[in-house]
Amino acid sequence: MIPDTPDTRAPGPDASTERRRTSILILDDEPIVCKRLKPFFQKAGYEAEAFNQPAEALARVEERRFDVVITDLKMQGLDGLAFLGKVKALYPDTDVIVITGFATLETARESFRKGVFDFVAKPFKLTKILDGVRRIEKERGLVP
Amino acid sequence: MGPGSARFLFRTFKRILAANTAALEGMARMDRALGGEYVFDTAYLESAVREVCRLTHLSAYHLNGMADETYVGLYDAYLAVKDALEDILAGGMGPLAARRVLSFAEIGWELEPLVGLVAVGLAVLGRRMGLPAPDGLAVTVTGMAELSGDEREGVVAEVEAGVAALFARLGGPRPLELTLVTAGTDGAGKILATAFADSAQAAGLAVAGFARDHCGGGAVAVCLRPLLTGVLAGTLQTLAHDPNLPPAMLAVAWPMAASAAAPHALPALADRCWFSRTAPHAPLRTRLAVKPLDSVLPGGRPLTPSRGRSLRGSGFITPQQGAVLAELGLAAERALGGPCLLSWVLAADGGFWLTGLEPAETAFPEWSQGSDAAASVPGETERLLSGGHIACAGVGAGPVVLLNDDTPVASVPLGSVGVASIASPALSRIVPRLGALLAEVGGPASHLATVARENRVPAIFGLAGATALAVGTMVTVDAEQTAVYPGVVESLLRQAAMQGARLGSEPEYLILRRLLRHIRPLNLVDPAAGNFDPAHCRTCHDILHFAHEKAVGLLLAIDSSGRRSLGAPRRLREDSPFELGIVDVGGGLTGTGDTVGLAEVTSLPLKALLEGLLRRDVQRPGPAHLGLGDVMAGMVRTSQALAATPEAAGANLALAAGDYANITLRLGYHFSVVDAVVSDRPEHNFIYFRFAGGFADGDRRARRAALLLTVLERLGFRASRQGDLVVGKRKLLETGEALSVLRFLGALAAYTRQLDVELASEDDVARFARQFLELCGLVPPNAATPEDA
Repeated sequence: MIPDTPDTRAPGPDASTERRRTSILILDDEPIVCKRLKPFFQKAGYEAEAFNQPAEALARVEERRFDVVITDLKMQGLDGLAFLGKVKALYPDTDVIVITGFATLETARESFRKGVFDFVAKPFKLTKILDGVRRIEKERGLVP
Repeated sequence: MGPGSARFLFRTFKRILAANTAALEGMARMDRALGGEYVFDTAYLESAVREVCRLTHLSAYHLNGMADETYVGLYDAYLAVKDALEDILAGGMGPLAARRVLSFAEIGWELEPLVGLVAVGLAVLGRRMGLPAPDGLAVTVTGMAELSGDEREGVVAEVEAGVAALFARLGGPRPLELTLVTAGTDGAGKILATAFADSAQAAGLAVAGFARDHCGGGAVAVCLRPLLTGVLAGTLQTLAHDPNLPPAMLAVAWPMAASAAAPHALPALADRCWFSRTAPHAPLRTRLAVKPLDSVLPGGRPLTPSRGRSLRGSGFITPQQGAVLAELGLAAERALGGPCLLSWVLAADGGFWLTGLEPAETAFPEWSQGSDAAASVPGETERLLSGGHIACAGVGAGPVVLLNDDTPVASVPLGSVGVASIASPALSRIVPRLGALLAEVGGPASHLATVARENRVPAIFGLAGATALAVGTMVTVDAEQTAVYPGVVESLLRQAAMQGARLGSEPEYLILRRLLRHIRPLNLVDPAAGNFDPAHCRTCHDILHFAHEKAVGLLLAIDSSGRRSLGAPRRLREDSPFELGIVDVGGGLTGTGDTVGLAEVTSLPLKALLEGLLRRDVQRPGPAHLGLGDVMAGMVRTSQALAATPEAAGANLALAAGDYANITLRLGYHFSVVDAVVSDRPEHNFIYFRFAGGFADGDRRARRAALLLTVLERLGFRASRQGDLVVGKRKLLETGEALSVLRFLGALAAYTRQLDVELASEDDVARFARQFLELCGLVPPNAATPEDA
């Protein structure tokens, strides 16, 4: 697993006026995906945490709420759809983007039935997933 | 429509084109994934390989359909490539895994687990990137494992033979340096032992000694290269952490010991200097050793002692030398994909040589994980420019330098940010010197993007406004965010350095590099060469290219009389420099009759080419002046032409469909082929140009080929030339751009008709190239051309 110290904002006089950063949890059992996405979202100004183990990600979402969850669909241990179901049960207003290397029409339909915001097939461009997150921010009013 | 009929041939040819185009797209996507444009996983690698293999097989299958199973050997070549790819996907090292000794010429980054980091690093930095690194060879993990078994004698003999071959390349025996490193998929390239040898036999014994001493200790490999000596030796840590400094590089320098037994031993007398990672690499801090009076200093002149009998305040290397070293270090780091520890030697002539490398020992996770990591990254409002596409991911900072096709390589400062209006293939030679590359026009599938990825130079293509950046100002390019920031953004550089340290050595990237080695390289480039056959196809690209070339040849052999049911050609009734017959193979022409006007041509690519060909202003007037040599050479070629079959010496012929054209021009004794697809889908569009022949002597034909090459490169073609054969290709073009290029090609065909007899000197090449480019509005009048330089 990638070391994941949650980012905390630097204390200081401007901290109270600083806009709250959108928080993102990334779950994919392929380490390479987490290693790409986490620094990318951090650079884009997001608060990002990444997990390779579904159980650890689940434990984390039980501790706190994330604005956006990005999860793989097929993983060992816990299926992505099951994870998304648990997230939605805990926080109905958390939006989920599913990423998968095994995209079929059926899995896409099933994902959307379960309330997935977007469905992205691997391999994908970084800008594509960033666009998805930005649409969520806009629809949820997370950005001015 | 049965097999062998002209329509069957054409339909099958179009299937080959479709398969090739899709396969090349898949290959380009894999290449772009290597550059960081896509996020991928192992499942993608498997599916991408499966698809490229399927399309390659399909291309071979259709060619055999066209050629009545003449090229069944292509299936063997395909199976060999497919086996290699499947072996790599299954965790193997491919066909080279069985090799016990490999020369540097055979080694690419993807072989790191087989030969270890030091050999792969020196091989790639020296032979592929042109950095000062020695030639050499590696004893592979396989070789070292077999040295411990029954194969000992055989491996030692191979090592000795490899060293003898190295000595032959170097011009004679040299003392050698041997380094034992950890290798294999888990080996990090850590140096375990070093030895020296002065003969092939001694090298064999030393390698055997390594194997004996490290038997059972995990996968190891040995790097052998000439022992380089000079004035100074040292190391360079490309990323040195110091909480009080910005990201720095640490150079350690010491005088080389005279003793060959320990030429690189670190003595107590060593200077340490921390340089900025950003050009011009100013020294940030120095810790100099107290030196005795007989120390060799820069320039060879001892300075006046300031205290007692020791020299203080004088470093072994100057700040200028430190800056050169820093740039070498950054180039190595880019290639390696992360920070590293380089060994170097400063030769007596003042030049640096890289002699070894290791991964950086210390990781600094707090740099990218710290509480302010994300908060200190500049926001979107602070960007100078944004947009375009990732050609190669990464972050680089440096002074802005404007580039064009004529920019001399040596004039580009190492580590600068190159900015070009067009991502022209001619810029490839400059790429290894750059810290980052920006182009206003061009895409991630272009040749230059591939070169940027080979060298791991961060690059953004299609970035509007890039050339407006002020020359000389410092900027930071973040290709992943497709953004340019003013000044040096240390937080981005720091984060990229840490991310790169992890990403460059990720197994998925090494596997992808290894796969691409059997997919992407094009080894068969000359259809006229003796080895242009299925047995010499080594990669998917070779097979696809072979199938395309042979399929074009089969189409050209169609009898233009119409006996093979393609239909009789209609003669172009325009004021053309030559006769042209056009056969409509589907949506290429309207109207009926024996002749056809330009207005009746509905084939997009053919119409564009004809528009260029019929331009009056580019046609060369009057008969050409022939010298005696030209006539004699022409007579030989004339008799050859007379002896040829009517098909081979036949009329100029164009096959035209709505989105496709294949035009064969036999202008005088020139033989030009233009093969093009132009549709509304850029990923399907391509233009292929081939030219050979002429009526003048060999020198003049070669000059004309040089002229064509100059113009083709100006038009953005990936072009190559051998003698008077010129081949150029462009792929993935927007519709408008493709049509524009075809108009230029048409004009070029008209302009260069019989021009070779006027090319009496090299100066004429420059003059006529400039004249043509001016006529086409491609360069402003009186602008310098490459030949003027």
